[in-house]
Amino acid sequence: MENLLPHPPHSKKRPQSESSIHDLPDEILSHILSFLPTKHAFKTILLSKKWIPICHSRSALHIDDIIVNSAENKIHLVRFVDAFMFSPHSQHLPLKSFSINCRSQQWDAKTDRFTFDKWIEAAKLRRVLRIYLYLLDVPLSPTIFCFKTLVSLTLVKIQPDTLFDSSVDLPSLKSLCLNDVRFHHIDHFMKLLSGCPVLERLSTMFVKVNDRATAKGYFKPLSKLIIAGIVLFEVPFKAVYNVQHLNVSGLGHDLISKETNSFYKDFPVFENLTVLNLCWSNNTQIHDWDELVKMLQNCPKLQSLYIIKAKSAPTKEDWKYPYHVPQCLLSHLITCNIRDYEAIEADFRFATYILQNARYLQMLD
Amino acid sequence: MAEEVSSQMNSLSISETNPSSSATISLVSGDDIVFKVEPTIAKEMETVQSFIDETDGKITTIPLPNISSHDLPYVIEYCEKSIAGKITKEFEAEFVKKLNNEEVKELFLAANYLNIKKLLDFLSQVIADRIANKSVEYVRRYFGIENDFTPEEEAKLREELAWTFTGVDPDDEDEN
Repeated sequence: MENLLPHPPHSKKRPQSESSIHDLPDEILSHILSFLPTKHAFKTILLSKKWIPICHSRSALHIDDIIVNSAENKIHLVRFVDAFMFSPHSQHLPLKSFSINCRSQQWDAKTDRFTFDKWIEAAKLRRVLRIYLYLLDVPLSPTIFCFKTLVSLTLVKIQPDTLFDSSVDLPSLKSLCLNDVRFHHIDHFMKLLSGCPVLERLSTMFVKVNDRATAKGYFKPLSKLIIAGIVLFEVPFKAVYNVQHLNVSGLGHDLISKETNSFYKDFPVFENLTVLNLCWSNNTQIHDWDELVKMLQNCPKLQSLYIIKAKSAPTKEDWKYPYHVPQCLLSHLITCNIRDYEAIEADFRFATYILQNARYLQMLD
Repeated sequence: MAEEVSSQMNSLSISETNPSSSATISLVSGDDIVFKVEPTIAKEMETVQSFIDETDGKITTIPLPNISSHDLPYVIEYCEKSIAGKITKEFEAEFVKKLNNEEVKELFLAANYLNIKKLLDFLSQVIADRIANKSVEYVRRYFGIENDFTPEEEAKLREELAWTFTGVDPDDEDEN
């Protein structure tokens, strides 16, 4: 199809010149394909030979092994991803997004780790921006943590191999989401965070470590972080001290080791924090408002406070009004929301304390 | 909006227009129907605008031999809405409801020819929606593709892609 300046018409007939969509340049066809979900786009390989390179030039690869139910199926899937990632038609084209969902029992921890490693290396060459990995039972090589172009990384059900002697370099990473990820040692997790100098969003849930002994290694807090959603005893507060928006769940208990306890729980001054969501865990032994007042003292600019109390846990009844009032109550707090507020003395006192001291408060639920 | 024009139309593409009438642009469809549009509309059509720019705005009659008078009003309607900032999901849903598969394809070609990015993206989505979940045979017919695989090659490819097939909708025959 010509895309030059129009010429005067030669005939007065309806000019459909037998051109069809199929005759358009590959880039245009590829553009149409980009609007198709991956699994439908793959099928276009079957249309004709012309479509194989078009399909391989997609800028996103999202693989789901949802119907991989036999070893043969799995081999085909692997072969397909190989063909896609190493296609001579697309080597020069950047791949924006790469996601793999592997839940099938067909994957093997020993042999398939090399399969995934190979794809991650290919993803680096294709300058991938976003990666999503869900790997049940297959350990992940830490080489993924040296990735120049990566902007967003989501890991679900992943066990990275030891990071003891591998380095971390994620200079572009802005968003990191870890869900059910198990590290060998807390030092390795801290090493990962230290290697993300421009991280803006951090979300963790069920980050486990085999050895939670206090981190000894060098650790750099995330100074560019804006939003963090963490669980107590998974990420130390001091790692996220600079956020504007913080969600913490799993509050309400302590570790036996004092040293480890304070490594995670020491609450630094959150200079920029404006929104704080706190959720107490269900196995809270006792809800103590003092714990919260101590936190508030270190959040001078807090505007919104949302609290979800533990439903089952008793509240420390004889809560006394603190002697001094946190700065944020006097100057910034606008919203305070308490869920599972009980009709007991301590809760009533806490609410009164907020009401009496928060000068700018507009909403207390 | 459309008016029949005389046979001199063929030579009009290089004819001079007087400055006072340069307020509107005349788009001439392949079947010689003239559509007068505001210059802002022409701006949406990169191909038309670059033609105008190259002639320093002296030429305001643009022949569009690849676009029929059936399709051009749709294109203009979309551009008008686009300029007014009134492209909403509702408008697009109504717009596409009026079009059969053949018209969607023709409009896509027109949008590509005129280089209207927004319309091209919108129609790409429409086409993608119309071929998603359809059988390979249906999509071949839809695009007018000739199958150049041998039966053996195709069978092998199908087997290799079996893990992507989670079932297809029954082919609804094209309404044309």
